[in-house]
Amino acid sequence: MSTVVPRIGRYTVEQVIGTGAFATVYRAVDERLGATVAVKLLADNHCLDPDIRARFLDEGRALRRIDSPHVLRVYDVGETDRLQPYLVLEHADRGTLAQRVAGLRASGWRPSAHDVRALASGLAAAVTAVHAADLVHRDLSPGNVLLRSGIATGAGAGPDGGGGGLVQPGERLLVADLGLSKDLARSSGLTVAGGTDGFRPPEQRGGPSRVDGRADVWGLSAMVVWLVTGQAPGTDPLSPADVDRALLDLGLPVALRQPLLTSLHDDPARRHPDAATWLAAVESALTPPPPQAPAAVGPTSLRPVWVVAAAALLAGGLVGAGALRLVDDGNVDVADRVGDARLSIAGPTRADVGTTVTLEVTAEGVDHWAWLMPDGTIYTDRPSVQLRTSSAGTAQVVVVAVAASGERLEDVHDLRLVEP
Amino acid sequence: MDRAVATLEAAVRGGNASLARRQLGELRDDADHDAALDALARSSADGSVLAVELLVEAVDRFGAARRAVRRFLVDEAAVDDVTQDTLITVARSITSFRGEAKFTTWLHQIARNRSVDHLRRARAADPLDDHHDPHPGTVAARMSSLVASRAAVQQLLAELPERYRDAVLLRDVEHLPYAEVATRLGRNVNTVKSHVARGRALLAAMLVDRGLDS
Repeated sequence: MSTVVPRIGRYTVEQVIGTGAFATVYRAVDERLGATVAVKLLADNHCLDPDIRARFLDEGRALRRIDSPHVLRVYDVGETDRLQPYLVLEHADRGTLAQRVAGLRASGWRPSAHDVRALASGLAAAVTAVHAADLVHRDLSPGNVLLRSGIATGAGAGPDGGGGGLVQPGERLLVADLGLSKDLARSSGLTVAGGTDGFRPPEQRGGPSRVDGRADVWGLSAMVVWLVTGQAPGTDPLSPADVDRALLDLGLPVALRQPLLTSLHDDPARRHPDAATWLAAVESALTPPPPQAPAAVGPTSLRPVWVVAAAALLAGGLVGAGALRLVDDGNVDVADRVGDARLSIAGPTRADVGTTVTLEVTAEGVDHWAWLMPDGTIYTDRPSVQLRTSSAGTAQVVVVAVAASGERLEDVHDLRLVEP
Repeated sequence: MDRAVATLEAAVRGGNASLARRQLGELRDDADHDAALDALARSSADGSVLAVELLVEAVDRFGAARRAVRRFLVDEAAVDDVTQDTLITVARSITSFRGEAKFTTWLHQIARNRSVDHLRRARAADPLDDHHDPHPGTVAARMSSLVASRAAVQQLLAELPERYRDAVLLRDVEHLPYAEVATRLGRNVNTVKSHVARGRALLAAMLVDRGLDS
């Protein structure tokens, strides 16, 4: 049983708020400054081990280097008469994300797009700050993400921060435990007790391997998948269908599947390069596409930025290989591929003047695409377009997109129009 | 940087202490410091007495020993003690430095071992018995008592560079407090502490050299 220590250094201990194999965390009061703090004390039986001490103290120094409202702050480091080092840390009064989600789920809550956005933006801010200090967290998991009240900045306090959500207005997410327990376990030859199983990226599961910031990019999506599906993705290979089902079930955009799967790729080189890129992809997937309208109505609901992007793509792209293509009779389906991403237009290549032709796009591995119509109109993200034909000749419809890797995809569809 | 280190090595080989010290004083960043420490450690292992002296100075002045000790220890007095023990161990065992690892890696291992010694000792000791300097049981305490009790060791003092000799003599033979040593020598207390630590370390190296180390 845990012994309650009345004082640690000058801090008056109130209660145990967390225990692990190597350290116990206490809620304590700093009476000089009149503040509640968390004191993390290295276990008595480990405090003579120089390597465990070094790791423990390293965490304090690492936290000190990081400057972010989304990463737990360290205020002090000290040592007891028993030679146990301790870290004095920011106190997260609203507990862990694991506790919050368990509580919410028990009352029938289901994550909304706002919840996903709050989690994604808070975690991405934390990971960005960790990486800016040349550190890799390596252990993002629901038990290592904390909530704190009192400061009205942060992910939960956005303009659309409705009540009942994951992160309440005025609360903020805090990332804690910089991969410490895992490293400590390794240095003592012990294995980590469960909890973060399933949240470890593939490169940290086997033997020694190089781990960099993209391990945390994996972890970001692991957290979102956990929020959405209730399960960590690392235990079994994640089935895209499982994610789709969960997203559909929650009424979340299925487009979210793509950034999640990209950053959960086994090969770090195939993931988003950093947390900011990941967040941009997630937020864009969460933004609902404009309502669909028949093509003939015209470009009324375009997002200007995307139009500019599509125009730039065209300027650079149509001169290339896609521009000249032999027209064939019948239906063809010529796809453009970059890595896992695929883009192709399906539909007739020959039609009678006066009829309406429907073209459909198959887009895999891209979040957005744009149609470029023969008259110069651009439509974004529509699964299909309709073309009303008026005179004989050839018409060209192009669809363009940018894969997560940043490479451009395009498919050109030529349509020969003949007098009936 | 490579040229600065090459000049340093040449100065050590030629026995030009003042040129070597000037060269050391001009190194600015950590990479330069590490390269200089590697060069001095290699020359020390090859038997250069001047290199040992410069190495002890440089490890102390660059704060390399203290930094290594701080990885393991928190308490300021403990960091002081173990930094001194580390410096002595470096001086005494530098002949066994193989040059396969970086010097700082080797230093880190020594700091780790001396820290373990300290932690074991501190666990066993009465925490209130805190007025000894250096703390009983440390390598520094052993050196200090060797200087005090053995005439042979006192004779070796004559071979120390002057600024270290006076400091060790006043501290370990005359048993004056650091503040008093500082007043007598017209130096500040921290400088004196550093000079005593370096002097003890160099004496330890000499004892090994003469086969007087037990």
